[in-house]
Amino acid sequence: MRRTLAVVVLVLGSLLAACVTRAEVEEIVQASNETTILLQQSERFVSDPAAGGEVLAVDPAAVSALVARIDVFIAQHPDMKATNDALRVRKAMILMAAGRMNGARASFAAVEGELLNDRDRALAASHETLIWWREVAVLDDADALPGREDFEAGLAALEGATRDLDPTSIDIRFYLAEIRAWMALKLVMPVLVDLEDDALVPTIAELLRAPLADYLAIFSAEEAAQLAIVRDLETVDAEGLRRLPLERLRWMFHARILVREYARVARLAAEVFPDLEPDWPERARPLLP
Amino acid sequence: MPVAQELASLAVSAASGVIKLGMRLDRILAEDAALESETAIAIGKVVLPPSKAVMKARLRKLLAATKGERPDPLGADRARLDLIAKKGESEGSAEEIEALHRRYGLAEFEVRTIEPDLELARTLRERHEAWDLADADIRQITYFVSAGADFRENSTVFRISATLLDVLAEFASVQAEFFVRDEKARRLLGSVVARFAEGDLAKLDGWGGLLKQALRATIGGIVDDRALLGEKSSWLELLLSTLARARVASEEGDDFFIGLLRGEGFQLLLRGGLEEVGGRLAADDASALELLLAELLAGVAGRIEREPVGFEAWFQDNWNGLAATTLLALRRHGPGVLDLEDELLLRTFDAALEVLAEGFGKETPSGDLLVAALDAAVAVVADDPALLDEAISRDWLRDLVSGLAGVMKATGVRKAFGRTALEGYGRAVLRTVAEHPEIVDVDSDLVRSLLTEVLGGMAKARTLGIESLGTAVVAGALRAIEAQPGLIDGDFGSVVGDFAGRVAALVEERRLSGVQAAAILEAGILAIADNPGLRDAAKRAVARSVVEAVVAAAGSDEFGLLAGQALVVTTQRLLRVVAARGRMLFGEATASTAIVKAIEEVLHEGLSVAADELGRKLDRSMVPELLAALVEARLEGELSAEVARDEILVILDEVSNAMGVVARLTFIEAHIEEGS
Repeated sequence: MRRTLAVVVLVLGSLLAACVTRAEVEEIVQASNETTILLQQSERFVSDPAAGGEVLAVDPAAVSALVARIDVFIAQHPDMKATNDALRVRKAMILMAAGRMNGARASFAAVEGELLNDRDRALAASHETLIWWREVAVLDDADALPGREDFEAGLAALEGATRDLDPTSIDIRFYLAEIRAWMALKLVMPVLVDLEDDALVPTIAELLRAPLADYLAIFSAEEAAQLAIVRDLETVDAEGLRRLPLERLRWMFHARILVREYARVARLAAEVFPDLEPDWPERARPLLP
Repeated sequence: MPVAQELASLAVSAASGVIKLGMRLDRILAEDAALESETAIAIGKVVLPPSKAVMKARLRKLLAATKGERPDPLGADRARLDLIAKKGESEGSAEEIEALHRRYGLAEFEVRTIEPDLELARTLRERHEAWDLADADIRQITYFVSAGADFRENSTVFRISATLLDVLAEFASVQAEFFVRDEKARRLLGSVVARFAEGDLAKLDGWGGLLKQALRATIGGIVDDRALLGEKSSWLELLLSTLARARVASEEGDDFFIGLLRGEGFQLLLRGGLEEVGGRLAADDASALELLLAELLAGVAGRIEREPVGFEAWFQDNWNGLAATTLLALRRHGPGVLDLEDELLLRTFDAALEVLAEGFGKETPSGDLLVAALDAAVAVVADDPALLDEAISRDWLRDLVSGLAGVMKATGVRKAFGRTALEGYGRAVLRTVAEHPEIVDVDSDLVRSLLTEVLGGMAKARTLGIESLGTAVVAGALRAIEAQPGLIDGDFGSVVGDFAGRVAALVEERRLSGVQAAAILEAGILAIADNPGLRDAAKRAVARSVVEAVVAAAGSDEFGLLAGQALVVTTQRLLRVVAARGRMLFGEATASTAIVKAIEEVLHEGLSVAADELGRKLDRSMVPELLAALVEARLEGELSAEVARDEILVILDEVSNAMGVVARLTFIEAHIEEGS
């Protein structure tokens, strides 16, 4: 009996003690997600009574600490190559969100083997474009924007990366397609519109159609039919909300914003080019203002 | 081992296994957490700055709408606005355009900032009650991007199962006695299970990989510890030894066995088998056949590559090499296997196989190679006729075979049945018959002598129309002997042989055709038979000199008066003239060269005159008669040594008158009857 008990204790103890690595990874995952979300919030300052007022939502030192934690884990588990590479991508995305683009590039470059999920592969494959866009997306001076060729190269890179994805990798497909849609919109206005060249009208019309159509095409037919609900999300009742698929809500709502902004830019561009008549994708029509 | 110690060992193994299991499970789950967890990725802020072009368009509208108004609402700005609002012009900075845009209260147009994720989060919070979302849910809905397709080869279930199996296998390998009591079986089991537990089973290629690992471990363990199997079965031992040998050659270890299951590596297995069997056959007491097979198998095994290729492709790449290997093995051991002792066979066998093996080893063989092998075999006989001594008892047959082989060696087997070779064979036959007249079953020394001389003389020529000339010579000579039996006692045969040899040489020099030569031979033999002087040893060259003189004259005959049959007829006529005047001629002991020279001069001048008078005093059919008359006149002294043209014309008139039309017709008919 005593021997049996000893064996049971030994087994349980071993199993419990052996869950350390998993717990460490889960903590890193959770911390990185939280940090990324905080970094994205416009209101970078949050109230902290203990500190006597407003403090930065994310302390830059906290980002560095998280990155260091990932590095330590990788150093301590050199044989866990798949895990380490996944963490390197995660680290790169944190650094990108924090605006530390060189660190992000280095982390992507440190990936040793083959990444084993579609999201990480796509992010690694298109990271140069994503980093470029992160910097361009926030530029508010039209004269400081890169040239048309840079935008077109970025659009082509994201189109290729999206095309290579597995059809079941829905989230990352939406993510890349949305970045591409915003990129196209910023290319149209102000870059192409400011050229005031009537010969560009067909190009502008196509840029106002294709990226948006590609994004909307990712929705299933059933999901596309529910896009009209999202247009009035602020006022829709509880019953209407329950009909929406939570896992697609982000992308459906972003579709609404995209269509709204596309329509606005098309309207403005038409002031310069009266002949411009956008050919709206069928799935965009329920979302048009 | 005492029971307590045994249990302690078991407990330690079990504890070790559990710890190992826990660690491995931890890593599997940690990997899942890293790869399968959602990642917060924000779309981020998108800023759309105002467009100068849009503002300029609005300013253009303003200009148009206020045009002509008094007072002008744009005042002093109009001129500037006219300038900067023009489409396509780059006048004015963004700040100036924006300032004017604002000054005239045009639609508000500022930097637009869009933050889709924050907008959604805000909306969701506003609808919090309706949706009953916790903050964590909102964060997830707003920011998370799922991992998407997972490209790992094995599911978590598989990896956990494989890990469990791995740990169990390790435990079993250490504690084999716990399961099996038999010492040999336990060692075998330990070997197999230890192999099974090698590496990380969780990283194998799914359940199929696990099965492969089991097979790999089982076969590998048995192959390594085949000695433990106890009673030996020669075939089982051979199989296991073959597998072991093939595994070493593959350099893939036990993975080789898995490759076999996929159809890969059969070459190496075959190679291993061939080497194994070859090694056993090549034992010290092996027979010649076993040695041959052993070398053959070893050679074939050496050609089997390590890289897996289809059998067909491999065979296509190697078949000539295989043939070369086979031929080499045959060359080395074939005589022993075939029990060859005959020197002739051994050497021809060896020569032919050497050529074949070398040829097959170098390139894709063709018919040339076979021919070359036969050439080599023939050359052995041709180079060393003594080899035929034992094989062929009769001298003449040995000489004949040797002669034929010599011809075949000279021409090569490929041309063994061409014209040159046939002539060579004929020559060889002639030579053989000449040297061994006894093979012609004739009880006549004369005939044998004739054959010896005539055929020997003809055989000296390298190119002959053998059949026609040989037949003509022998038949002509025999007819002459039949008509004049006294010829038997003289040098008739020798003279005829000499004459025939010269005619044959002219054929070889392409100065006479075969048909011409046959007719000339026949006429010459009759002339020799009719004129004892021509059979004199010292004068025997006269007849042939006549032929040479006519042929020489024909060579310089620009008008073709001695072409074709005319040459034959002329020669025949001259031989008759020489024969008729022979006693007188040779009685004067005139040198044959002088006679020939005289005949040549006469023929040369005669042909020249005949060419001039052709169509007037003579036609072509009269030319031989004219030339014969001229030579006769010259030999009788009726024609001067200078051979004056006038003298020739006189003789021409005589010949022309003598022959007349009827005479010429008669002359022609006569030659038709002669078959010329």
